[in-house]
Amino acid sequence: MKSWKSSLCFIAFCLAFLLIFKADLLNHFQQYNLFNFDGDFLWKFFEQPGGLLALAGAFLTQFCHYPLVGATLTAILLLSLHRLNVKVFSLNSLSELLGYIPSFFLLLFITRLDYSIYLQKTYGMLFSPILGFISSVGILALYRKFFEKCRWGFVFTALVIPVLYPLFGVYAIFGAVLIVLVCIKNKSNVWTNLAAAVLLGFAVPMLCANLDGIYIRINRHYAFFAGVPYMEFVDNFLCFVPLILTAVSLLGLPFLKNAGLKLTIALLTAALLLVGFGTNWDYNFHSVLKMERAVSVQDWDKVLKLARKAENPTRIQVLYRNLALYHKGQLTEKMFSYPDGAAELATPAYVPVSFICSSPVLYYCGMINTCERMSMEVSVSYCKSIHFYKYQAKVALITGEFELAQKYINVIAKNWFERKWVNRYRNFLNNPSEMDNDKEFAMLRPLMDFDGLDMDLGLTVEKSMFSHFSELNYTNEYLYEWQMAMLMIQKREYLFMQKFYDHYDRFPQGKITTGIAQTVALCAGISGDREMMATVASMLKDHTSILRNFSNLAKALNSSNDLQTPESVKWFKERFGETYWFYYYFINGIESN
Amino acid sequence: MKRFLLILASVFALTCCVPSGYRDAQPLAEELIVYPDYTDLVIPCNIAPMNFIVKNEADACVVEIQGKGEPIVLKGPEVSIPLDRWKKALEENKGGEMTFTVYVKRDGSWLRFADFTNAVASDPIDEYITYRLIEPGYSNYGQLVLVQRRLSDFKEKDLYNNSLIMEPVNQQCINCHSFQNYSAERFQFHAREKSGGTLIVDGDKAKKLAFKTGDLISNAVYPSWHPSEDLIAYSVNSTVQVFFSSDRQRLEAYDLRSDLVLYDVKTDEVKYIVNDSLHFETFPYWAPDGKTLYYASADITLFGANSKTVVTPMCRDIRYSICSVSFDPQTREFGSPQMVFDAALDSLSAVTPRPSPDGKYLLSGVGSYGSFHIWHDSADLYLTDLTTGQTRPLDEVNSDDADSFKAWSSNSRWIVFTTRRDDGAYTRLYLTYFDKDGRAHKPFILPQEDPEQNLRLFKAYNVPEFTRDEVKWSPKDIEQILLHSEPVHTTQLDGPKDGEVQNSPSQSGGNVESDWHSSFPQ
Repeated sequence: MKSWKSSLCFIAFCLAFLLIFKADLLNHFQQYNLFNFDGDFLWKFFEQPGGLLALAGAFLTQFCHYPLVGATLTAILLLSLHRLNVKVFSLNSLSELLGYIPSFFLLLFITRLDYSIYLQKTYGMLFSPILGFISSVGILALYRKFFEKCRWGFVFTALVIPVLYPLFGVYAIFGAVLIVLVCIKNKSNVWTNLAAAVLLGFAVPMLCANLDGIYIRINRHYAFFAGVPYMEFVDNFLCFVPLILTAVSLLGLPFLKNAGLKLTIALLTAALLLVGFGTNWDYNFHSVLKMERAVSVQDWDKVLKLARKAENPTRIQVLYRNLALYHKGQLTEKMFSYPDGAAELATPAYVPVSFICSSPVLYYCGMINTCERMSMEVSVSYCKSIHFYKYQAKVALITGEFELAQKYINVIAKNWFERKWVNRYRNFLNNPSEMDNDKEFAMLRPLMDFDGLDMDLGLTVEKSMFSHFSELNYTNEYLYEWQMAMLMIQKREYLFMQKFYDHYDRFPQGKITTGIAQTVALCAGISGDREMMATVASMLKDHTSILRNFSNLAKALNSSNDLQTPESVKWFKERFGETYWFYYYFINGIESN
Repeated sequence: MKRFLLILASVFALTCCVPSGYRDAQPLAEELIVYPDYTDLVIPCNIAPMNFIVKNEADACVVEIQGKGEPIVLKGPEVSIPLDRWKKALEENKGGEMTFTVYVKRDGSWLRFADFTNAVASDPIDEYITYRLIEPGYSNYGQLVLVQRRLSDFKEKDLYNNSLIMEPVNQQCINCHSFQNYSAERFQFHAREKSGGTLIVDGDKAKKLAFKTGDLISNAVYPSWHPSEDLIAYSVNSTVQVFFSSDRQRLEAYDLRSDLVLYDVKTDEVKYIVNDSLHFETFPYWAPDGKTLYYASADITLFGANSKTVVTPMCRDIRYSICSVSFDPQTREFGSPQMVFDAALDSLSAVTPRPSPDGKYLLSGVGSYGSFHIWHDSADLYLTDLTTGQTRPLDEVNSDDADSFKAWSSNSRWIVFTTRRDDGAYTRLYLTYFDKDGRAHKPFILPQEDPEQNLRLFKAYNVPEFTRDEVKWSPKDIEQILLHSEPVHTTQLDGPKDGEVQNSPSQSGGNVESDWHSSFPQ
């Protein structure tokens, strides 16, 4: 195949793959990134060897704000690596196709990522491995162009490591390894280059790690992984595998120069299959990413649309759904008409639900102190990012801490492509009174209207919400709505009925929502108290269909021998799947971490 | 190429030169706004250049600093004063004044703001200050750094930082650094969590201490080195932290119990100083002569509680007063507690007593309740005249936000304190001159090479402590001791004093950070 044709195919494949399946992931990377040109920010990257890659990665990640641009950049960089491979390894028209394999594995590195991306400990990890391998092959390219035929070529190998290790980290050493490999292949200058690479490849990281005054803040245990986002792999080794495959495939390229058609097809197919099977296709993960983008622009309809599609949702999706319903004024009306559940997060890494969704969930349900706390805690433990600063800025605005809000908004403003957000919220700094008329803040203020101190046990995001709302004294209908929703989720019938009776007269009967009516009917029904049932029946006289349905449910429940058989679950789901009753009897284990 | 470089050099020279024509400027009635506010101060004669930014509108700006000697003329609005010229000016004006004149160019005309003057005190400030840089979080501390800063310039040096630790999960909470008598030869700090302990550095020797022993309720918490003896007074505290989801004050930390103990650095022996189960005793601090120990004490019987019944709703009723006990360095015996500042009587709560090195004054952090003043808006500094026993709020420096931790310079003329006055969240260090008449002067923020660093840095400054000299230990040396040495165990010389059953170690709440940390999902 002509070189330009294969390049075009590769670009098209990358773009399609990234834009169709991973657009939200790319955007998400931008939100969990931070970049600005302040000297002290830039300098931080050079406190560890290989910092230039993270810095360049953080810079490029900004472009992922627009997934199309981010995907194009990724594709171009991956193609650049291929072109370098072709040139450096002198690949012929057939083996040229094999030069794409390292790029496929780097693509897999991106598409393989799962929930662990919420807990990024390294900036720029989307691009830094690509840039790292480009620099490794680039080092080899320099060697081949200027020093290959020189007797003193090993001096270049010897210099490359001490000079470039601070910038590219272990990729500089990998570059030297590639030089040695080419020397072995060509049977020239092997021993001098090998000695230089081994000696300095070992000595330079050791010296950087252990000598005082070179790197004060180096994590010396990982000196041989400098430049690689190793912190991401500590408890998620699977994500590291594509990088190992990339390295191995690059090491193999010098020996595949004259590969035959069959071998080429076999290797390419294997690589593509690995990409296909290795890619993270988890529906819930992608749904969460989409929901988060929708939450960030308060597109609650989109959140609900996504919630409707999730058959076995995680608690994150359920929490986002509840936010959307609240902001649509339908929380207790419709919350049980959507699929519910507590599916495990599909990741081998330890990623607590609370670390993923605490900022938006707590903010949009009015628990702003807890939102601020969790945003701070998570960003301190992992990376400070636009995402967390945005919530911290909004919390500071709503609490009237304008100097603090300005500080956060200023740092967000230094990131490219955030102008729209910055303009919107900076406007409130200059005109705080406009917050009173803003829909976002208008929905939150009633939720902050507490009576006295409210203890936040702060164990997990959902438990925080339970403890926060459940015991509140009646303050206003917005808080009451959340309170009833939380009591229903926890299946706390007694407290629910108590709150219902206490505040029944506060709203006209017509405003009793479907969810509350269903719960009231259930509580009365399972109490077996005739008097209570009669009272409830009179209270729900405008909800006769609910009472009638509940009678049907009760009859079905009484005649069922085992509710937990798949047939029973299916039967009840078909008839009562969109009611609180189904949630009450069939959805269990909703504890989230 | 040469031509290009010449052009570049010319452009650079032009942009760096001070504009001309400003001397004929007309007076301007407008108020001058500079950040940080470095106007009308008393400054140390050995402080780093006090760089600032002129915030008023200007097409061009010139700042002239005049005093004895050659004036310094600089281009604004970002005023970056060369270190050597600044040092020379301070030396020439020691005990005198320096006048700052700001000129701005608007619409082609030069205008001159009213001058401001800073007095240069002949009393120097200690050369170094050590502080912890940490996000104002609550439980997590992944990016914590313990830093020593030279005050005569901008040099910062890590004492210890968490990035040396292999895995984040093993990272430690470094806290409560303390030096003996302003010398960096002997110091200590605690490292909590895995491989934690109390690091005790004594010259070129260091050890990690496993402090908790006998019936002590926790590891060592708040320290104070005896000024001359091989002794450290510690509090041991069983502390809890709670969060409020709605209150302006987001969290509260309070003790369920606390006592004071004396630790012998040479023998590793520990004994109680005070352990009254009806009082919480904490924040010990030695008087400069080493014959008195000040501390904060709360009488919990005042609101009908005892050490087993204190619960969160009561935490806003706990009020501390400042007490003292005498100490005989020969016999190592303590006298009986004396009241120094009965803050609780005025419904106030006074903690962190700090006597001035000249022994004349005592500074306390005072809030409306409790001991966690860093999060209390009501927290202010109070000054007790130890000769008259009179206490007053140090209004010269206090703000509407939390003004909490503080330290005296070794000559008693300078106070450094932490305050949230800038933005309500990120504490900053402010310095103030304390004159011989017992009056503090207008405080100013710790100078930075780039004054906007204060606006950009998303870390809080904690626990500033002065020293005269630099810590010689490197972070890697300290890491070796902390992570790779076996801890030395202490021995308790005495048991419960007042006959009450003490909490056994397994029943106690452990140290402060452990409790906080364990409350957070990991």
